Amino acid sequence: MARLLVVEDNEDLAGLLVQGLTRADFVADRVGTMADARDVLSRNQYSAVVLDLGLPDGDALTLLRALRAHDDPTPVLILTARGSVRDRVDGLGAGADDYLIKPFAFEELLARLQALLRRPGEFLGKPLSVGNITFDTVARQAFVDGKPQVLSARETSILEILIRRSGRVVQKGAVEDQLYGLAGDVRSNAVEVCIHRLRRHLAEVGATANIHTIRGVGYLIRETSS
Amino acid sequence: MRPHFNSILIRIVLLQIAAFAIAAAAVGIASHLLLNSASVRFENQSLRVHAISIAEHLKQQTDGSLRLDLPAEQRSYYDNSLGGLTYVVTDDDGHVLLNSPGSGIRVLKNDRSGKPTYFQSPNRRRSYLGLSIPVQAGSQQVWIQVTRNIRRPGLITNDVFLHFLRRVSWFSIPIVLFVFVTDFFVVRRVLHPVVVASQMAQTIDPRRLEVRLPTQNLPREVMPLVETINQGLARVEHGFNVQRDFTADAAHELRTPLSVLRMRLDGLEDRAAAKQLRADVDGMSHIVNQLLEVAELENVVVDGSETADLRRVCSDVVELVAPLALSQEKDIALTGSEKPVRVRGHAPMLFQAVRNLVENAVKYTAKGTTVEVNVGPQGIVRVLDEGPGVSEAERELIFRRFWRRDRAQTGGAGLGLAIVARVTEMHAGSVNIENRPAGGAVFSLDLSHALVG
Repeated sequence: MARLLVVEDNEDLAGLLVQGLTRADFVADRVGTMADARDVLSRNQYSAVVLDLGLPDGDALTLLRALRAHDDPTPVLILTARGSVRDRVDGLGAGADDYLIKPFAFEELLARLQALLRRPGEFLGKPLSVGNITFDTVARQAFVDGKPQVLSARETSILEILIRRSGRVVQKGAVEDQLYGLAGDVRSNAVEVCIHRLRRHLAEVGATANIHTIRGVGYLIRETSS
Repeated sequence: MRPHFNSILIRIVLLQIAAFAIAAAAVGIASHLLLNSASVRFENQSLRVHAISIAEHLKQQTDGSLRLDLPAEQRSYYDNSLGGLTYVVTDDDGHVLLNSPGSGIRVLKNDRSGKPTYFQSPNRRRSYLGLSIPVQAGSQQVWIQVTRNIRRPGLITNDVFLHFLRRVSWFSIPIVLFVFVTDFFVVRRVLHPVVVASQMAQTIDPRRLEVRLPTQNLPREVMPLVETINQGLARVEHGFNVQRDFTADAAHELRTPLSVLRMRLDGLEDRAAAKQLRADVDGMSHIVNQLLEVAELENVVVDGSETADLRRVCSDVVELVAPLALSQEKDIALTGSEKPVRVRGHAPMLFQAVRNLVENAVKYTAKGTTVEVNVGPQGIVRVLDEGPGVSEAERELIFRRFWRRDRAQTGGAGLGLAIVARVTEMHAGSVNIENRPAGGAVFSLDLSHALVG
């Protein structure tokens, strides 16, 4: 079970975040100041940190920088009201793994946390899902309505990368990289061919999620709107 | 000519030349007057000597007539060709008794007071000076009048004056030139700190507001100006920071409660009501975000050296907006250049501009249609939709803040296109709107002049 640290000075929001994360089967601790955060981080091992930037005792970016200076790899998701692009660049530059601007959809926060936790070498959580498709990242096995699906290695890879970012666009370049990683020659239209087959397969077995082509950019999987 | 007088250096040099000219003229006139009066005094003395000498050699003969026996040397003075001297001896009634040879005889009406009288030629040209003295020659009272023509060339005083001027100008002209040249360097040296301060002032721009003008070595007369400018700069910097802090604080104060509100809605029992309320919160969040974007744009300064890849900017926008478009059953595509299209500009701001154009297109276009983002290799981004198009009358209005086509229906605050206009303005680009022949609008963001390479 993944243990998270929520660093947020707004009592209401912190309480609601802990509630929501608990409901999503996480264990979440919360602190409201940099000093407390430093204290608990030095004593406990967390799977990820949700970090608000504007804390009463200072700018949490200094905390993040200190963490990274000590080679602490704990994934950090910045959750902040500072929305300007410069702030975002500063945040990622200080070593944050992701950056979410308030107000946010809680599902979005969950999805991003799960993506952070499933990075190679990090905690592997429960299966990913979109619509009635689930994907077991340990066994690398896709299910539709609970039934295991027979897919080629390439199709499985593509489905995994899409489903990790379900609801968001995966750039075509990123999909190609995933296929190159599997060796063998990748023809220029190899990705299209794979996507086409995968799409047909999912339709045939009655999956309630679609793979959309965003022309010129990439692909996106999302639940079929009812 | 005129701009040259704006240089303090040139002003000082010109004023000094004027002052020197006036002083030189004054010295010339004064010395001329002094010399003149000295020469008159000198002439008068000389006339007196001549008159007395004539008186000494004047004898009354036994027949009562007068006889003048001047030594040869003295006689030569009255040779008209040499000294311009003439003499006349008259009786008490002004009748000429004796006179020098060839002289134009000038006779002064005798002064009955019996005192010697100096006189000048009556016209203003003062061509001669004269002296009339009464003399007792034997039994007879006579008057000796001696005059000298002072207009004759070769006169002592004229020579002295011209000689003096020539000598003085020989050494005074180099001195004056030397003074001007040293003046130039002295003034330039004195003004150097002012020039340094001016150069410093040129480096001030909104990205370097901490710059202050140097006050070291400044002349006391210029100091108040520089200090006032520095105080002004401090106030500008302060105002800028207050504005930036306000934006950051406002962001925090608005966004955090919205987050709380949204999360509380997730816990509501009534799912249908929660969904509706969530849409309302999202709409409000959108407006808050746009307001903050507008506020931030007021504070942003484009760095002239930055470049942005329009292809990448548009790709990021399409990536961001795609989920929204798909959820509204609309399609979105990126077309045009496959290679980077680099322009001078601030990528994050261009991203905001393109995003607002694309979000707008998605909002106004019908289900089942496609919004196309086209990146031209010449630095023009075109956003094509299949919506209702934009009428001529609306084309100016839609870039105003808070303008909406239909206030009752659309959710936004009408800030999207104002943001586009502002970003375009900051990049010195232009936005154009056209309608497509088959229906729909094309918004073109023209940054072609900023194209790199």
